[in-house]
Amino acid sequence: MTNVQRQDLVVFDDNSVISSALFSKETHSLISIASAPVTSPFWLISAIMEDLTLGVSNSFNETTESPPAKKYLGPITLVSFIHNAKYFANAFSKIKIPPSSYKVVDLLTDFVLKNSGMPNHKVLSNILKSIPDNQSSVIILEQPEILLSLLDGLTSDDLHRKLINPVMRRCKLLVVTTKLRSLIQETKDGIEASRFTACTYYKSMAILSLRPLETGRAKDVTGCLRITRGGSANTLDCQVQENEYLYFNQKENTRLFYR
Amino acid sequence: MSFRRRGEVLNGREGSPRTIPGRVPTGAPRNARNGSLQSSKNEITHDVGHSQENRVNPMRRGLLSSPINSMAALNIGNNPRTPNIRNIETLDMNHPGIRPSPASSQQTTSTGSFDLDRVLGHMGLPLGNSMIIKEQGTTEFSAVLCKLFAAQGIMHTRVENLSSRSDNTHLCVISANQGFSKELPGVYKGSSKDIKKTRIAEEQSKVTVQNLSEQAAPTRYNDLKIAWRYKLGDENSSQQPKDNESSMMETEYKDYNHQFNITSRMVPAPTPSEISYVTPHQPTQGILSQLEQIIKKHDNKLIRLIIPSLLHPATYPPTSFRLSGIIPLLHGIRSLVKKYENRCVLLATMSSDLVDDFLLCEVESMFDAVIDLEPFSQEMLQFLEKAYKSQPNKVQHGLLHISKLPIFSERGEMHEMRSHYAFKNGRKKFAIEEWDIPVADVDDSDKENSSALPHGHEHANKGMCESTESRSSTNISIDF
Repeated sequence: MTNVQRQDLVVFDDNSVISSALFSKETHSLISIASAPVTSPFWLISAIMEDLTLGVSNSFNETTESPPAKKYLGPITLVSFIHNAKYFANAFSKIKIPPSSYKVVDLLTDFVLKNSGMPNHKVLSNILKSIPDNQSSVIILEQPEILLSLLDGLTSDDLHRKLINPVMRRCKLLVVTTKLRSLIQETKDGIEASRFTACTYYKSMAILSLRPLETGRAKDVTGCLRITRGGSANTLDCQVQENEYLYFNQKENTRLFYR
Repeated sequence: MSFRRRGEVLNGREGSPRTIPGRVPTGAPRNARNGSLQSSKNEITHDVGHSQENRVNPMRRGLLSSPINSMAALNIGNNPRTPNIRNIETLDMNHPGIRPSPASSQQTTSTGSFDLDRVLGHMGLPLGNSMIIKEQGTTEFSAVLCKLFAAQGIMHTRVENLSSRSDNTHLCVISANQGFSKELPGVYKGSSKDIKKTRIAEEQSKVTVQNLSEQAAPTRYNDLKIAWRYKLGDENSSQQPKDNESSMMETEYKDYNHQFNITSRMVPAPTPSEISYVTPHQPTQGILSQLEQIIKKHDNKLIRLIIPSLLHPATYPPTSFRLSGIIPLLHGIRSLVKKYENRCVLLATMSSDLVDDFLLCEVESMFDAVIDLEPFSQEMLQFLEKAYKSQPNKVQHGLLHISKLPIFSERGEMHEMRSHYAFKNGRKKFAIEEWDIPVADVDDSDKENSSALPHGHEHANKGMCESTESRSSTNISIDF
């Protein structure tokens, strides 16, 4: 792999990662990031954050010109069940994302202690209350399906109806990271989890999936990033550009190559 | 030339000392080894009395307190709730069980197995991270690693070092087995020959007339030497360049990692001040609050959380085998480890045959590092014993698979390695080495059969014989 082959990340057909067309109309869009357990999507979240706050994904997009003007000036909220606020602050400070440009809702720290014994609907409404309601905002929701395991008796439909849909209505763009799993499951819990993933795909306008190579580990390739259209009808002026990249993630740097 | 504006409060009102980029503030506590700051944003306090205590602590340790910090403590802002001094709830600067990771510079502690430390890529488990060791089958290799991890923590507490205080580590075991501490291995004291030599050295170090008269000549010349070349050989071997990591382990981090003898027991056994138990036979909330109390009680100590045999049917109630039973517990423990990330690590072991794949996958997602042990079947062991007939010490006991590595996997790197490493459990070491399929030796009795082998095999065996011969001839040329 040489530098000549290196590619920029493009998700929409206007050569952007997050198109400005998403913020032009009164719509609520959803983008899913699905990843295998061994290929963490954190670098992709960082890239989206860079694109939104700095105007360009410096992590891997090679730009010789000066960065374009920021296309998005609204608030960004990160809601995470697996990382705390400090983790995001450390990671984003390395890539020079200003801390004032985002807010973290930490649903990892003491979540179980705070919500133990509460009915499911109360827990979900508390989570909703902690997420700011701003129609022009971007919300990144990290692994919400963990609630299916944390809350006894919660179903996929409940989770979508009481959390994902209301959060989607609260923002212009919702980015949901989920685990990439087989949609054919045998256990009851497995069926609920796969149902949640399938429903998220149906609501998404774009699905970014990260998976390792089928041939196993390679020294110069981490995995495969596949960008596909989701199930939702697209009424925007931009279209998702379906593509497949190989990516190589090493020491906080990511390189993309066309497959 | 100063760029400070008129009216600007010295040291700001955020409690963070003004620093030059790339430098560590003078008054802030730093690690003696890497100079990294050990404070967190979460640990800001508004308690003035407490902050004064913290101001005194560096003096006790022999550190100079920065005048800026002293001024900051006196600084009265408009807002009485403004945090002026950080409550630094971190480890002792000279903690023997802490070193910076060579890969990420993050503070790291040893797992008790040098090879496992190396495989993790950080020479240990970084603080604020968790690891699960799964094991297939009915063997108990993961239990050995678990006990090594615990024993290493106890050894750090018992290190007699002038620069660091003892009682620097606390173990917290989530298990109903209160006899866990009595099963911990003792430190490996060398072979029986080494032990005898140590005893002789101890005897010689005693102040007696005979010893004093013998001390006139250097000790090494008193030993019987067959030939002068051995002495030369010794000197040469001591001058051989060692790799950077091992030389650092011997000098700067000599108490970081210990070698344990799993056939011996730790004497004296860990006391309640060194180890605490939390039984899993209680509601999740009870376990978590009990854990947090222990962590808070042992402030300024490294906390090693251990979950031996997670989801063992004899220890865990049947409700734990549901997702909503075990995941809240693990999520809560993960939350604690991340909350106290400056001084907390977690190791769990479990049998992967006891739970279904979906539950196993969900459990794994709660940990930062995932290691899978796959012991060899009887047939494979017999084959290896045959292949290593002349070198029985080389027989491995199973494969070690890596699914996730701390820090690396979290930031997106793919480190899944299947069948890349093999492990063997010895009396004095849990060795992990790169796995390669051995070539079976052919006995004299089998030589006749070897003619029936394909040409490739014959050639390989011939090559092995040649290499053995050439090795022996090399030895001869060196000795004589």
